[in-house]
Amino acid sequence: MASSIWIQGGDGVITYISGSGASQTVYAGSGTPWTSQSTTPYEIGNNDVSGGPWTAIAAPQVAALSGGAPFTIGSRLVGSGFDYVTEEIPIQMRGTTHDNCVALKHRLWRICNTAFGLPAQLAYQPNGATGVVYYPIYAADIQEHAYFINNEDGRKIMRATLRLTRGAIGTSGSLSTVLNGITVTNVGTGANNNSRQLSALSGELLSSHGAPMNIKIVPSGTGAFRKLWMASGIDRIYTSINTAKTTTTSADYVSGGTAVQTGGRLLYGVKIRVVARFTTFTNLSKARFTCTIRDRNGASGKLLKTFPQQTPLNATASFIDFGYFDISAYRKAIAIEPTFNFVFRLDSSDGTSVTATLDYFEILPYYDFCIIEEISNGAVASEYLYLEQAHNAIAGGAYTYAPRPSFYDRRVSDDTPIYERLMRGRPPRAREPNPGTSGYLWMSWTDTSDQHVKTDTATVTAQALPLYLTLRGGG
Amino acid sequence: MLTIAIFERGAVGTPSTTFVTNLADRISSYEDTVNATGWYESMRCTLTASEDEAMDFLTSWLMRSVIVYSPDAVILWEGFLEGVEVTFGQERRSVSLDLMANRVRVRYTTVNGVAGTTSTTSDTTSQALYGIKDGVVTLSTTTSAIAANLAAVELARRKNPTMTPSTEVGGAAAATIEVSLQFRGWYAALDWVMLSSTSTTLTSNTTQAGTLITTYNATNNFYNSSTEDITSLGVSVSETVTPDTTCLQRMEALLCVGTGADRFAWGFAEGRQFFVRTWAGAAPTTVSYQRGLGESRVFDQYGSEIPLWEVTPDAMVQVVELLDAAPVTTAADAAGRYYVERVTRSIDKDGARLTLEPQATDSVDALLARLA
Repeated sequence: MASSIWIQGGDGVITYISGSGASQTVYAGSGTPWTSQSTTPYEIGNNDVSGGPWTAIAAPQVAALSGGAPFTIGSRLVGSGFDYVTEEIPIQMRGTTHDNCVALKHRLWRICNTAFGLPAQLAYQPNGATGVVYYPIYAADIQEHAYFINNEDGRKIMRATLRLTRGAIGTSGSLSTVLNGITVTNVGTGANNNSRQLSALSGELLSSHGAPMNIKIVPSGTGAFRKLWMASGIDRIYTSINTAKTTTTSADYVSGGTAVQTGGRLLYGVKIRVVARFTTFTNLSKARFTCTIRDRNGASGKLLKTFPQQTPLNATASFIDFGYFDISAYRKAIAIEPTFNFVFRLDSSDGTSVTATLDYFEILPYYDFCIIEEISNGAVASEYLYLEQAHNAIAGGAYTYAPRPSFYDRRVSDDTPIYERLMRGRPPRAREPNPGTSGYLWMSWTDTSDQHVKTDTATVTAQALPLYLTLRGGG
Repeated sequence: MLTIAIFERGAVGTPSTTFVTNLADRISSYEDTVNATGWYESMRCTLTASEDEAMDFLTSWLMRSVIVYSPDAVILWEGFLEGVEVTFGQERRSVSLDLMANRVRVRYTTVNGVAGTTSTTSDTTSQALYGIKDGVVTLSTTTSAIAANLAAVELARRKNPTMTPSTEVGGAAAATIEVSLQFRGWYAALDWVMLSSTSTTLTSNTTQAGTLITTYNATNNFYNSSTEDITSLGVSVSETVTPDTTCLQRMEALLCVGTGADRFAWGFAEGRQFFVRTWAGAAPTTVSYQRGLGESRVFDQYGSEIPLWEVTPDAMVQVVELLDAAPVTTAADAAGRYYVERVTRSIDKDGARLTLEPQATDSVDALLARLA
């Protein structure tokens, strides 16, 4: 078959700009022949007159570099990203009259320049390829060749250059389910626990930038949400402590050495998040918690980090996010299992006797971490929570990555958005820590009383949007 | 990248938790400053907007609060929107709370040299929107009636945010509408309310700092009243406050004497909770940040990288290659290390940048930020 290249307009109408037959259809001024590849009056102009053969341009990666001469030899990569792509597609269009050719040009311009409404998409499936790649179109220009009114005047063929400003990254146009209606229990251990490996992923950029995910979270039973934490990374380490402390000054809960990753060098881009669950408080308002990280030599080992003091919110069970620990200093050239000691301290703010039990703590090696607060999903049965990082503006249309991830409540009955929630940090994206090995999605939440209930459950569905720079093949 | 969370202004300007929007995907540049005295000082971000959006910024956004988070959900900066400037091609409009005063009194003297003060005159509509912001005018050789008239005139002139238009015609007209949002840290709002006291009791300066916040909250309930993070180290000073002293002036007068041996660092940090602590320069050999000459990165003392936007003042910084032969151990500033008084963090399309300023900085930016 011939390559299929089309534009899906903001109104959902498909316009083929590549034909499939040996001859191009001539537009007579009526009908919608462009909706079928075999009858479209548009054609990619892969000839010497219209321009050279076309293929989608791979967006150049923009690298942010640090340091360099005269202090060091070479620079260090500290970040990267992609900018928009502007490319030119040679195109020709045939009409029965001069005016019909111009009408084709007008129509093409209109359907490409809808970004303020529903953006159009450029779809690209080369001959022999299984998959289609979609790019959002932000702006377009069409410049007809001078031949149209000069050398080829009267031939009723307009050769032109379609210049598109489009998104750097193409998508598969549809979401791939990577967690399918699984039950997640709000606890760091046991069956159906809060850290789950994603299904096999597809697309490029998985090891560098990850793929955007839409995540649907339906609370079960009485599991209403006040605050939700989510992360993507490798599997977390769970450690049960179950020790109570009482103090009028400070008292330490000391863990044994904890390896934050097993089996090799620390992965680049991974940081460590420390979270813990405390229960059975007395004088909750006077209790404060800190966490310090020490080297593998135990509680008296070298101090590596002290987290800011945290205040618990619920006297039955509080979930504390202490923050992150950058482990880049421990990413050495040899394969080691970095082991640290995590010391949790209970303080009394004013000398009042306070009691608390450290139930367990989790160490999350993560790429992305976010916090969503003030979630009130009303009557549990009527609303669910939704993280949106990919969307299709047209019903049934191709999915593209959302310019800004958002998290909001939706109505169960018809998926109507209710209102958006404040999300801080970076929402989880589907990652491959190592090629062919999917990453994990982790979550934890507290209810409307700020209580962390270990038996709360939620049904979670996660869908990833595969990304491609140019060709997709069978991916 | 960052989260720039905007919250609706509550009644009488009190910061609310009603989330409005996240500006992070709109802005083209970001810059904030954090100071060892006051903490969150200023923040400015710019964006391109449509005409309708720009008008909304000018008319509805003042006194909204902001919390800026890092990609790791760390709070980087917190404050309120004090000013908006919009460029509509060759037309410029700016609106600001800076010169506003919605509770005014006049301090005057009569022809006989007798001093007096009018009662305060208020605009409750403005106060309901933004909170109470005091203004004082002085007048000599007058009467109480004239002084009262002046108070009314001054209130009418200053009760609303100041709108400053300008027009430039000719030359090449810019085609875009650019919006600049100027935020101030909550510490600056201490300057809004005046107080006085005739008490001569001697009380610890740090205790008085906590009491001052409670007093302020009775007028504008902007702050967390907890004194948990206020050190008990301090010296006893008189409770006397001369009339027309702002709460900010009083706070600085209290804390500038430090512990009597060491200075303090102080300000409103996360959650608008006030802290006072002995400055990091008291232990200059405890280095919080280090960097190399060949690096555009900052590390903690153990070698872990600190993102540029998470670097804060009241810390010692050391440049690794610059080794002092024999630094005075008690000297905060030496050739290789110095005390960071103020930081400026900026992000735009060219990358992220960090500026560290030493103590007793005379940079124009720092001076202007304190005078604003």
